[in-house]
Amino acid sequence: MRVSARLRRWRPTHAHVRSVVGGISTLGLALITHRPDLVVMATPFVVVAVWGTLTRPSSEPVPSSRLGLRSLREGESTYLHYRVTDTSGVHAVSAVIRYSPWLQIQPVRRAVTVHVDPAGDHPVDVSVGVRAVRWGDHRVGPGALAMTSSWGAFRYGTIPMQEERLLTLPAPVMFDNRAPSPHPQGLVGLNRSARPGEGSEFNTIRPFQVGDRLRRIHWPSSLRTGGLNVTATYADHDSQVLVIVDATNDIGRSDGIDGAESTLDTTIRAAAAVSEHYIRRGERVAMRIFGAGNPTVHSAATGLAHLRRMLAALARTVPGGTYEKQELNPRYRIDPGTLVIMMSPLVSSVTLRRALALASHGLSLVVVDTMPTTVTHDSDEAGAVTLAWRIRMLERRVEIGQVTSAGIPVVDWRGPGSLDQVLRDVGRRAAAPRLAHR
Amino acid sequence: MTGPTTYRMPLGESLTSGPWSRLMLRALVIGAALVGMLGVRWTGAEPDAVLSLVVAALAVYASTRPDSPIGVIVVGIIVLNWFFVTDASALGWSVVPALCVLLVHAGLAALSVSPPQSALPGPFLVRWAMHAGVVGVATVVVWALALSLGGLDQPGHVLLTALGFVALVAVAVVLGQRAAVKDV
Repeated sequence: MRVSARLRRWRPTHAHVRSVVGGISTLGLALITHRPDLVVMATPFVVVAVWGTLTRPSSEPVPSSRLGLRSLREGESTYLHYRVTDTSGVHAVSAVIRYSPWLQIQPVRRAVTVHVDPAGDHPVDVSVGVRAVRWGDHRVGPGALAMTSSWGAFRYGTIPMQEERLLTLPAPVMFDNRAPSPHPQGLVGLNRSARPGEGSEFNTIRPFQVGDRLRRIHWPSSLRTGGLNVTATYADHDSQVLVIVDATNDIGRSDGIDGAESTLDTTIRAAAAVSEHYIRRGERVAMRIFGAGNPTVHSAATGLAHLRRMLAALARTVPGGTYEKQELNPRYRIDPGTLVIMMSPLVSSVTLRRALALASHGLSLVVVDTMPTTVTHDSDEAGAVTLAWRIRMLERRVEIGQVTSAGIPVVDWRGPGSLDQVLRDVGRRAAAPRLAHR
Repeated sequence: MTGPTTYRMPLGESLTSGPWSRLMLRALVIGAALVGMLGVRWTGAEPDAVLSLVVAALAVYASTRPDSPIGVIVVGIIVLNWFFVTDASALGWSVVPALCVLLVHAGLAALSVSPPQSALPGPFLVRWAMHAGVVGVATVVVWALALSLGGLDQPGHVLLTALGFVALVAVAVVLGQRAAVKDV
């Protein structure tokens, strides 16, 4: 950050001017009026003025800033370090950090003063704690630094310090799902395939065939029958999961990780939890964030690097606020057998129509309702907003009922186990023959 | 969507919400200013209650805005009040307002070094107390010298006094020029 030359030099403060003016004028008055008591009163001013002037620093402090961590999870903390070099003659370094929403600064007043040994020339560190309480791409700062000399006589700065960017990923919400994926399609993974093959889950015992591995021979049955038998297993396959995130609106009050959740808070945290769960199981996960100010598409992939990219995209999500220009039936380029999980507060009927369009292609779709129970509009004094909200909630209930009757499961987000039962049901239904538009 | 409210520190809040170290320094500044005004009573003079209240009010404001010219006005009124209310015979008590002026100046200077919301670290306060103690000792020494020299009853010399004052100003100018050279 460019700092004007006027700030990059030691300038006298009001305190120094006070001591100089007070000393000279009181001493002059004492001499003119022959009052020795005024000489006594002038003494503190004169001594302080001379002291402050003689100890005026000649150094040119160089400030710099850095964050301890550039990326962290909600609720985690790091430090913002301001370092000042060439500090000879400096008695105190003060720093102030600007208020940032969703960041808790320690000390809470966002101002620090550090006592400096003026004889030393070693770097001085001014550190403040930073705790991110909500996901997002936050700005820490900007801040300001000032250095002062003895008696506060001269000040260097105030130097504006550039803001630092802190990417806060959604909190690792506990999520677990014991239900198998409905259509495992890949080559490797944890899901039991419908077909026999190389895997770990027992299928049957059958006669030995050419190509079977010797370690698969089942010796007890071979001894009983007199012929070689082998243990057959089901193949272990991975599956593809598409997580669709509705970021059109952010309704309700958000108090960060420690307080109330808005709709987008719940949606983002749920999407992060589901993505992380499936990635850690070895599945391929794709993600689409629609309705956002910055819509994002991530193709299916696996691995922690892919997870990190998706979490970063979720953290950078900006609610779009409009359903206009949204394609109701976009081309998702989804492989057959993909499990589609749509995270949405279902405020708009457009989202439900989108779910119907997806299900009409024969995809296994689960809609997760991420509307927090805490979102109300009861505090509206006029009552009009409260009434409108209640009407919309009634309409929403009807629309969800219509979607459910069309065969699309809609489940509330409750954290761990939210999807267990519904995925088992989807898996059972997937085994049955059905008609679908292609 | 609404988030936490923005934190600001208006004047009224800054009077009472600062860290304890700042509150103590503010109390010191206000108390020293009042003692400096009311201390003329010890010399037999009658203090001006209204003016004392004005100084107290100005000291309160200056303690919340320490990096402002209000501090000059506070110490200026204390010095002028002493000058007009007492006479040269009050030399024996002059050390009291002198030390009060020192406390007002040192307190305001210490407050102006750090941001209004910042706590003042312990070593910082100890250093300021030590520096103020050194200046206080120098003031007491000058006071003692003035008391002892006052008994000599020697007539003053206008030329020597003027020369001394010019020399003092010259020293101040030279020091100021040295400071300017360091800037370049």
